[in-house]
Amino acid sequence: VATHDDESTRSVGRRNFLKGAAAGAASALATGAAVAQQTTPAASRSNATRPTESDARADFVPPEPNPGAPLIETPGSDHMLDVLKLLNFDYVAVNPGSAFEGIHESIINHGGNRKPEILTVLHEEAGAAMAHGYAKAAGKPMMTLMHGTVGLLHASMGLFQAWADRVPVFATVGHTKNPTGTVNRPHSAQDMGSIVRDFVKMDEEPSDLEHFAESALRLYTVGRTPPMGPTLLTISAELQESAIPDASKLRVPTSLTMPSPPQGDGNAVREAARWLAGAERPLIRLGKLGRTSAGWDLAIELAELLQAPVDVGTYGSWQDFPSWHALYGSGGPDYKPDVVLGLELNDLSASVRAMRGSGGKTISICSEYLFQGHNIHDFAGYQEVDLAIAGDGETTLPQLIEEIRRVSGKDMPRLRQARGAQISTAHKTIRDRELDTARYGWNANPVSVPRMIAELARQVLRHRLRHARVGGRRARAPRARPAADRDRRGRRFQLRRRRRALDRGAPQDSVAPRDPQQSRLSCGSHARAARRESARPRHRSDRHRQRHPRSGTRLRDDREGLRRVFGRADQRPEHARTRLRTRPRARSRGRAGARRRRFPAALSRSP
Amino acid sequence: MRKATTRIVLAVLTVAGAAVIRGLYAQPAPPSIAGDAQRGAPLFSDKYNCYACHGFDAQSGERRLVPMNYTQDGFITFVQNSPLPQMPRYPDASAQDLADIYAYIRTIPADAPAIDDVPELRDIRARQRQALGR
Repeated sequence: VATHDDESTRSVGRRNFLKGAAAGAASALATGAAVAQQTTPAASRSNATRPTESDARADFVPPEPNPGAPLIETPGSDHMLDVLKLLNFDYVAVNPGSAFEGIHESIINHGGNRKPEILTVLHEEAGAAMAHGYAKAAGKPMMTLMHGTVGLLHASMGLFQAWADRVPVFATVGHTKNPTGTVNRPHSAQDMGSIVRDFVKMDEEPSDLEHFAESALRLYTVGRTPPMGPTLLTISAELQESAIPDASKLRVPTSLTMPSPPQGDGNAVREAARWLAGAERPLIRLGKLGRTSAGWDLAIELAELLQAPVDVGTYGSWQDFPSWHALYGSGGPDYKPDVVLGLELNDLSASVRAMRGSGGKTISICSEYLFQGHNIHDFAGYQEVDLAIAGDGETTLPQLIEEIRRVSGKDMPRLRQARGAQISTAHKTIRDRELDTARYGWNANPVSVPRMIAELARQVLRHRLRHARVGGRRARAPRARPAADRDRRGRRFQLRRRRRALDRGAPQDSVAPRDPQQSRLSCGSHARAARRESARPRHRSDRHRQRHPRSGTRLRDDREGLRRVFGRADQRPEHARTRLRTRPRARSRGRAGARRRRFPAALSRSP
Repeated sequence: MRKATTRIVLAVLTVAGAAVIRGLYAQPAPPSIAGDAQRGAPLFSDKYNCYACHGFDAQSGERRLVPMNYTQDGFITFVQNSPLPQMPRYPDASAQDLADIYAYIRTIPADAPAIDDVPELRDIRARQRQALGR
């Protein structure tokens, strides 16, 4: 992170330039408006006439330039942005407002509109909803920046949805604490955070810059620790726009330490493992389990180990288990469970009632036991489960799986296979019936729901097959090469890439800081467009990879369904033809790749 | 004398049982109320808003009504006293209205192409077979 001294010497010219440009533009607009007013004919127009461009120009009131305004060389918002950059936000959703002018300006001019990059939204609720969806897709929070009171009120519904979904959103709101004028006064508050305090996990308003870093990092870590939820950071407008009094007292933390998620008590997990291993008909019920793609994989591993059906219920928001899997579902109407395991499910009441009648047992592993809501709750009534374990489901599952393996007898796998076959048969029956039902009304207008879903799924699958990545790179036609050859080729590829980078004058280290003399970008879509046009290398191979599948690879649609085929005569064995290639080391790569891969990986599994 | 009485009783029971079984498996009785399909169409789409859940064609929504498996009496009884939480009860709907709706539904042809003729469904079935190992 650049120090303030370095930045101030760089930013004097930039900010002076901006001030002069603003004054010049304002005077030009004022002149233009005056000219337009003079040249516009004074003819009367009817009420229905649409305003002309000159009318619109005449209505525009340009901002008055203020040449005497003080220029703040190193505002507090620059320090705030330095801290926020540590949190590695990709985007910030902004509906511009005067309460956060300082940090808005710093994001563009001090941060180059990168990390975070501004996404302009027309309503704060849309911004909060975008951050909600982004966190679920990307696995990390997005930032939103809102105006005081009204912006936060607009965003409140989006924040509530994120809270109900236990998704982290890093919400920030500007707060003019000493407002002037009739507009800003109602946009301040005695306690800004109280507007949404009932449905955010935590909120803070640091009183000075020294505490800003502490508050920001604390809110970030609290929001991302299960049970997760949105957090609110209130940022004083005065603090943003005032000059940093003493830069030597400020410190930007050098690292972010995320706490490990809470794991269930070891003894309780061992007891749960004994119950599950000894059960004749276990049932797994999932709630909001899959925080990451690891949760998905662990749920499959547990289900296949126990050969137990997995009931995801009707919540529908968190998809934690593949519906294609043979163990998906409740096991059919004849499957009467004797042990029910609820994972991150805050309502086990139906299972508790059923088990009470049949003498079975219920186990709950849930981080909701750690949740403390004050005014708004979404848990059900008190449930008399037999074993309640407070802990994150995804974090606790590895130990549970290991314990089940340990306590299982030698003949257990064989017995479980028989159970799995029974569940699989029930699942096939249900799937066949659903598929048969989907045929009806296929040509109906408006389109039937099954057809809409089938067509959408086909498009998603087509896109996925075209653009599937293997090992972090785009998929390519597999060739039968020995491992040593593959490694040699990998080294050649790396060397070639480095040479190209040197040819273009780029730094050898891809994460090296940007050249401070590099031209700054404007904000918003213009900045994104400009970067695409100028900075993006236009290599033939790159274009080719973007638009078309690799040569020798194409999509085929025949009786076996939509799939990707390699070359004319596919000589690969059956198991390799029926799924996309993945490498063992790919598991440790980026989350996005893992998410994309888990779908075909799940398809290939069967009990 | 006693054997003869037993035989007569058994014979009577056999005949009665056969009649009961025949009644259970007999073809559905003809509609007790004459339904008018033309009058049933606007009742289906306008007055009772059946289309809102079942689709305009009574088969693209939830739950499917084509092909109709209920008898007319069963249909009228079900609609007036639905035990399902998803289906509202219509106790005030007249039997004649419901008979007309029933007649209208029976005239709707099934729009159900074979799975092999629909690429999307064929694709789903192929992947399903691949996933479930058959």
